[in-house]
Amino acid sequence: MPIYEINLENFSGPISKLLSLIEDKKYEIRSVDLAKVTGDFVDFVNSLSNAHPRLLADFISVAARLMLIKSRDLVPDIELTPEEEEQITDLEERLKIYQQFKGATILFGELYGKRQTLFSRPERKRKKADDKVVFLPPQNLTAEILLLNLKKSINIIEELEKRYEKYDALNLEEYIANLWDRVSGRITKFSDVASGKDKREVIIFFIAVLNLLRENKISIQQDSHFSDITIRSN
Amino acid sequence: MNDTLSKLEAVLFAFGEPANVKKIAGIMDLKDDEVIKNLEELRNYYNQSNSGLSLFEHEGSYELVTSAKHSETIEKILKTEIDEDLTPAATEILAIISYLGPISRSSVEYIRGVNSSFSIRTLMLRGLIERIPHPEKANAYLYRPTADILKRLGVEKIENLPEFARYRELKKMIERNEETGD
Repeated sequence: MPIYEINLENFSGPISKLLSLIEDKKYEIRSVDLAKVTGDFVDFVNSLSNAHPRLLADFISVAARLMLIKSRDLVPDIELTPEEEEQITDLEERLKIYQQFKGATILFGELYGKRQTLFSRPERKRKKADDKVVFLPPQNLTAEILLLNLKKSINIIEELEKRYEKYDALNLEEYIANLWDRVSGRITKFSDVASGKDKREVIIFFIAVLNLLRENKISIQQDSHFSDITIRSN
Repeated sequence: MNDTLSKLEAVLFAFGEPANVKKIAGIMDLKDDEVIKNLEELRNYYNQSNSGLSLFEHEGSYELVTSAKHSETIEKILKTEIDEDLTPAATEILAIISYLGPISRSSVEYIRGVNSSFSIRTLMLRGLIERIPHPEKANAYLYRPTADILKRLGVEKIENLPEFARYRELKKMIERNEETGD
């Protein structure tokens, strides 16, 4: 497991950390007390330098709010914008919610640890009963009817084969060569390449484009979703 | 135990898998609310009579399960699928989703103050939580606990989680704050 995943799994996040700093000092959730733990929280964030950036970002966002509170504390004349005031209230609210919910997490963990599982009847056995193979032929079924239907099925397959015979000749190498002939040394639109072709051929031409792109023989440009693709040979 | 209760017990035993009220009502030729009333009576009967069985309910479906007190014995026959320890983050997220679910990922993250997508995905893969489409928002999802995790916890229905009603109250507070907050 990469280190950052362990980090994410073992941390309860910045709200939890901040709350424990406040509770350790027997403070209350109010801005005066939040200002007092700002230093400790920032120290903790600094110690997280190896943490995954995503985790770090969440901690820094809380640290930023704390610093806002701290600065208001130090410079009483400072005027905060309504958004900033709201950010502070929001942080306080979240701390209160987290504090109130914390008990549920503890109870949940204890319950899980008790191993008092309720068991259903085993699914495996139920499935076996469902999967039981039964021979239940339709009435009036005869060997002749089976043969007749088999022949019908074979006919359908043969017809399908005939219909797709021409595609058997489709060879990606040839398409790539063909495409290269058309685009080499100039700028081409994919819509020109595809015009008059059926869906299957368009797909193969598209694969050919991707192949040439991989081989670095062409560059392509598409301005927006589903818009035309411009092909330039390199 | 009266005849209806014993018939209900037989029906649930024969199903051997979760059955909803409608299904049971159809089979027993009862009205839905009569079935619900009898299911509650059966649950009380099990709880009061030192029975080896319990009635488990999840999302409106009911099934017979072995009672929590025999967990250790039955584990010798049937292995629980949920056996691994839970990390602190997993425990916290599971608690949030169980007590406050169905709940969105953003609400989980609002409470925890930390991105939780990785943990939520892992919990889903482990079959501890499941997601359902958001009833009001397109392309959005809500998360709720699975029947398996509730059974693993030994609760016959979600409301039996310790102090469920008290913690459930927080849901309103979170929804109110999330609307006004960021």
